[in-house]
This record gives sequence, C-alpha cells and structure tokens, in this order.
Amino acid sequence: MKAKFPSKPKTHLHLHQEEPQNPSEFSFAIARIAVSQICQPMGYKATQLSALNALTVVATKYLEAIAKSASSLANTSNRTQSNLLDLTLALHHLVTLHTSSLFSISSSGGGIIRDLADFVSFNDGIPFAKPIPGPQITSIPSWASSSSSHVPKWLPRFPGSVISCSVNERKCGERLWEDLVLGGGGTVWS
Amino acid sequence: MNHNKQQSSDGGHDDDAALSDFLASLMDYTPTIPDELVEHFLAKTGFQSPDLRLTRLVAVATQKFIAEVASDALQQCKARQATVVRDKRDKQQKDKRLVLTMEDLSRALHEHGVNVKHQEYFADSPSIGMDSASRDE
Repeated sequence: MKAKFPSKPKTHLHLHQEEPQNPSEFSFAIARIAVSQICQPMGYKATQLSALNALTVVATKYLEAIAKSASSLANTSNRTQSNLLDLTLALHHLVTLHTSSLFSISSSGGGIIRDLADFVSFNDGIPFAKPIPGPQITSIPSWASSSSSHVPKWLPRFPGSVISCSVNERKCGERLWEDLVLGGGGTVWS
Repeated sequence: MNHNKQQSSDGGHDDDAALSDFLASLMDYTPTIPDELVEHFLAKTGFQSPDLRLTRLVAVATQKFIAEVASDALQQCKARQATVVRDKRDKQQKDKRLVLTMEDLSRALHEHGVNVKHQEYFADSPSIGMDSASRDE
C-alpha cells in the first residue's frame, strides 16, 4: 500500500522542512504536530525545534514501549491479542520505571487506570489539527489479460517497462527471453 | 494481607463499574494523538487488539506522559524567569514569552528517567562567547 505524502506540515510554528520521504518520516511529522498541540495549551508561545523533535522522539518511543511490553505479556500467556490486563501491567511497569517514588503506585494495581480516568475527566479532548490522508491504493495491474498461462492471474505484473527499455538488441534479432515470454511490461511481443 | 483481600473483594464491583465507565468515556474523549498514528506504532511493535478502546487508552497514556513532561519543563522555565527578574537586569520584558528549550526539557525528562543530552554550541575560538558576557556585566 502506498502512502500519499502530504505537503509540508503546517503548524503554528511555521516549520520549514522538506517533505517526508518515507513512512517513518511521515508518522514522525504527524506525531510532532500532535505533541505541539499537547504543549500549546500549557502556555508555551514558542519552542526550539530541537526540543520539539526530541519530545516527539520520546513520545513515539514511549508509545512503542507500552505496546512492546503489552504484546510480550500477551505472548507469554499464549495469546496473540492483548487485552486490558496486559495493557495495565505494561503501564504499571512503565510508570514504575519513570517515577522515582515507588509509594505513589497504589497497592491494588488499578491506580494507573484511575489516574488516567482522572486525566480524561479533568481535561477536554484536543482533536488533531489536520485530517490525515489515507493510504492511496493504486490499481495494481495483474496478469489476467496476459496470455502466458504459467503465471497465476492474481500475481501483479512486472513493474513498468524496465525490462524492455534498457535491452540492447543483439545481432541476428536476438532478444532477451524475458521480453518474449513475459510481454515486457505493457508492450506485447508477438 | 487479609484486610486488603477483603477490601479488594468488596470494592471489586465498584472497580469494575468504574472501569467500564471509564472505557465508555474513552470513546467520547478525543485524544490529541490520532487513532491512525497510534495504530501505526502499535502495529509496528506487534500489539494486536481489535478493541478501539485499548488504542485510545494507549493514546491517552502517552498524552498524559507528554503533558506531565511539558508541565515540568514549563515550571523550570518559569522558575528560571523568576530568578532572572530578581537580578534586576535592565532588559526588555522578554520573559513573558515562554519558550520550550532543550535545557528545560532535558531537566524535566531526567526526572522521568529519560536522559536527553543536547550538543553544546561549538565556537571557533574560546574567546567568542566570553566577550559578550563580560560586556553585559
């Protein structure tokens, strides 16, 4: 699936950066917008670009850390799908790590969910600023129209005319075997 | 231990009710981190769950963490501005503008267990920065 790369992300900070070139940069740009939206209601008027990038990296790594420990907890219990208990334990591990005082965690273990519930009830939700374009699924040409019977019809064709355009024609009209059999990606060789 | 066990069995129903209420309220609350982004990172690390409420929970947990870090950095920034004003310097009132700097952020993150070190500014010669500092004093 291809992702449609957007124009440069417009935040209130007026970043002048290049367009994201790959999916990881794209997700990083979105995460940066979300983090800046979280920080703005606190009273910040401006930010250093390196500080925002660092905070975004921390946010993505935090998210990945929760998911990783939750999925590993599920796997040790012979499950592939995580449930609420896995998530709670994973959060418990993380919160125990990033706070220095251990007695802040209540003994029942549901204290973290309670903290989150308080957070949700206390703060209003801040929706994301821009709509995220979905992945563009271009129509994939298949082998259905081709005459070669040894290739299953559900396989996609070879990309473009890469094979045929760079082939040097040899003497005596020889051509590459691939061009003859496979159709050269669009041109039909009879 | 016995007392705790009794408490947990009696309060278990309340906890379950509160938990289900919270999960229901998650669907009304819109986390700042969009669902698609959270699902991208969850899929990247192998977290599988068909339940949307769990993805929202992860988003809310991350948002809470970032909000805590940002508020700690804000306190650092305000504390620094308070000390600057007390020095009675004849500067313009730039301190009203709160800026998220790398220094405040590294201090705030250090309290949460994340060590962030930013590069110092490298000058051509050791005397470049010192002239302006002596001029100010």
